[in-house]
Amino acid sequence: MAIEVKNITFSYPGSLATAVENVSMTIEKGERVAIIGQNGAGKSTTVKLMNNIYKPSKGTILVDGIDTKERTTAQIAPHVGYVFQNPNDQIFNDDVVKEIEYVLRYRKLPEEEIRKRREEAIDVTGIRPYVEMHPFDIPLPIRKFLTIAVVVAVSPDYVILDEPTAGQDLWGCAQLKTVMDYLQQKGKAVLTISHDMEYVAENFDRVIVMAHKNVIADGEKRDILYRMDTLREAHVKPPLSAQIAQAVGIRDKILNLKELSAAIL
Amino acid sequence: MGVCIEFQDVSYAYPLTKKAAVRHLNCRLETGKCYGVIGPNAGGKTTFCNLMRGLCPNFYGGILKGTVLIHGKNLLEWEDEELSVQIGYVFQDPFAQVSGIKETVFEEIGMGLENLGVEAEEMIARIVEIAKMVHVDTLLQKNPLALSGGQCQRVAFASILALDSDIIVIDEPTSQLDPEAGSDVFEIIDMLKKQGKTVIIAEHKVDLLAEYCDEIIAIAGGSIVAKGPVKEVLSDPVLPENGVRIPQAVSLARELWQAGKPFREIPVTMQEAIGLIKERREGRADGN
Amino acid sequence: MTDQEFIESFRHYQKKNNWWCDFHPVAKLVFCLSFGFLSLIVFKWQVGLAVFLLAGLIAIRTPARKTYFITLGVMFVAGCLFTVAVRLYVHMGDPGPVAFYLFGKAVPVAAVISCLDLIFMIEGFLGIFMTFFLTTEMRDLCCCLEQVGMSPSATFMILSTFSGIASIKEKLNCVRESQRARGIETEGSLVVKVKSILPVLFPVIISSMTGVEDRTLAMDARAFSAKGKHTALRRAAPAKPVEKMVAALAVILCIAGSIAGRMYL
Repeated sequence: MAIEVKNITFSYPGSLATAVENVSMTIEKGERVAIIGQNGAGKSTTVKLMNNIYKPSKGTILVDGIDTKERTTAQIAPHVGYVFQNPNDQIFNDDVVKEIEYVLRYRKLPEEEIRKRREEAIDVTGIRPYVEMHPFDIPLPIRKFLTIAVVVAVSPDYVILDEPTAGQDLWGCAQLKTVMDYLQQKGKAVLTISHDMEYVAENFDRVIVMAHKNVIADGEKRDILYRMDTLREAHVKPPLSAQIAQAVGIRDKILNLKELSAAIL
Repeated sequence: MGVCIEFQDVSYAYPLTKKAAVRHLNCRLETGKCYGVIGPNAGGKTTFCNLMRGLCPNFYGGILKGTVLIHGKNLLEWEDEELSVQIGYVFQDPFAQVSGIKETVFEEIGMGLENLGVEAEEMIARIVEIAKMVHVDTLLQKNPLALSGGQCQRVAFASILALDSDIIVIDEPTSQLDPEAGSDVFEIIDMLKKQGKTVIIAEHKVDLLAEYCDEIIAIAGGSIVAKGPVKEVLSDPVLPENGVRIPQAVSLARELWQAGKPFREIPVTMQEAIGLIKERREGRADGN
Repeated sequence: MTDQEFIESFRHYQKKNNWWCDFHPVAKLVFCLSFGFLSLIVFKWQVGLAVFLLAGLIAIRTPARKTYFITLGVMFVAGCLFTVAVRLYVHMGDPGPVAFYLFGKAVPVAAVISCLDLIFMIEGFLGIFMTFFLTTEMRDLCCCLEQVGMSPSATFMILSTFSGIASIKEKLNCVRESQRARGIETEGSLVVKVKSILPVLFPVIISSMTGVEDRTLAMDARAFSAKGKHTALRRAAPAKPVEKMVAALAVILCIAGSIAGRMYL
């Protein structure tokens, strides 16, 4: 069970330039993977192709062995959920509950099941205090959690989060961790695009680096986040604790403050 | 240095809300300094910025108590159009800031200048200069509505910088940007500071603020919980107590302090932390 | 166009290097309005046809000819044939000289003529307006309107109405992408398409309207309300005497034509 991306190339409709070229990667079920890289490196395009919003011009994507080209986006979506970078692009109902229930009702799930999933999604994402509000009156960072709740309710096997930490405060980051743990415990794969290296180092096991429309590295986080040449090529800096550790000449591959302080003591 | 903005016991509530968004704000902002405004979301950062620009209460309505002085003159006595020239404001949502009526980035940036009645030749020169500075010079012919979030944010930034206001208020400029572009924004802020402008920037990236700002104002739960020079405020234990994010260097210092081996002083930037660690390691090497 | 050429273009009057595209927008508007109304007021096929031919003659000499004839063709087939069917059906069997028989029923000459009147009135009216809209940039028109004394707020309203229509379309595309990403079928038959779009249409329009608040703030931040004269970055050439003359002639022709047409046709 996995998403297998095989040598895909894609250019957006009406654009001559390719957005990704010959990209390959495999996301196993239950994995936590982060994709890092500069804006324009092809990260969002790659995950949109996995969600089958677009179909690759060349190459194939298999979701649990099913070729996405032979299915519509709507058929793939129950397996691969995608939380957009900008929540405003994703919300289209004028009511929080309606927004969460929209797809569940579309799929004609039993009323009891809908209620259960909705309540669980609201609790996990911590948006209970905002349920009564109009989605566009909810503060932007929390609006993002509404879009996460929508995907949690659908409960796909692969969850893709696009820049979840952007604009989040301490509450948001902690809540995000709750969501990730919940998904992990349910056996879901979580794939995240992020610029936030502390978040990546803390929450993920595997890191994929993208640059100039392609994958330039893929592996265990501690290994990848210490490949300085690769990171430089992708215009990415390692976590601050790693930068400090290197600057003061600590040999261990430090990734967070706890490790750093232990090394100093 | 002169005071350009002063809050005197300011409380404000948005219309139709029972709870005040900010309460009893007191602070003075001095000309030419860079201020970082930090704190949890919905804690009052944006309201604080809106008050300076007069959007609260002029645009949003609501109830204002206390006095906000801009260049010594009461906010309520300012004409809105004068204030819009005095204070440049870059909003949080990049897409909400494009005018929607200009077909190219070039014209979008020029729009404010058109409104001020600047002559064409001077406008062109100014747009080109600003576009280079903010790194949007390759986007000039693009439609502003077709930009990515990061590009859009920079165009919005450029459009405001073009107005050449003395005070610039920026609400979370880097949340849509990748780290490299985020650092670019701070380089620009540094440049503005060198030109003598007053910059007020609300932001979550405290590590960057620690490097570039002169002073920090921490707002949580609608009140100012700490204000003052960067080093003083960021190392203040009151920040984590109020759910305000602190720089990693400070977190490190706290870890060490809890382990019983504190630094001799609390670092706030990465460079300071590196310096202190080196010092300790060398000291240990000397000792043994 | 290179960036340098693009920037340079703002130092001169905007030029498209086509006599009709470069025609002074206000003069052009007056010209087109005159003939449009002539066709509307007289409401006779002779005049309609003449205006229609005039529009075609102009259009064929501009780069917009392809769009012009395709759009007009589509409108002709869709709109006019429908009206003709309705008119013929209503008048079928009316007394008077018979033109031809259809399904065994008499179609009077008067009905045919009234059909032709309607068709060419519409075609003439639409044709002349399309020659205007296809060859004139709204921003240039507004710029010129400002020069002749219209307030910037009024031109802003015109421009934002036009862009508002475009933005609703954009927003709808966005929502459809989001629906697909969540597993709602938007591709396929018309029924599926309509079913997916209907429930979100209202919220989309509402949210486009709430965008107005943001827009107002953004404009305010750009000193839109600043007192004193606004300047324009794009420069439009002032109207040449011959352009003014053409416009004036068109107005005279319209008035005279309307009177003559009503009296003699």
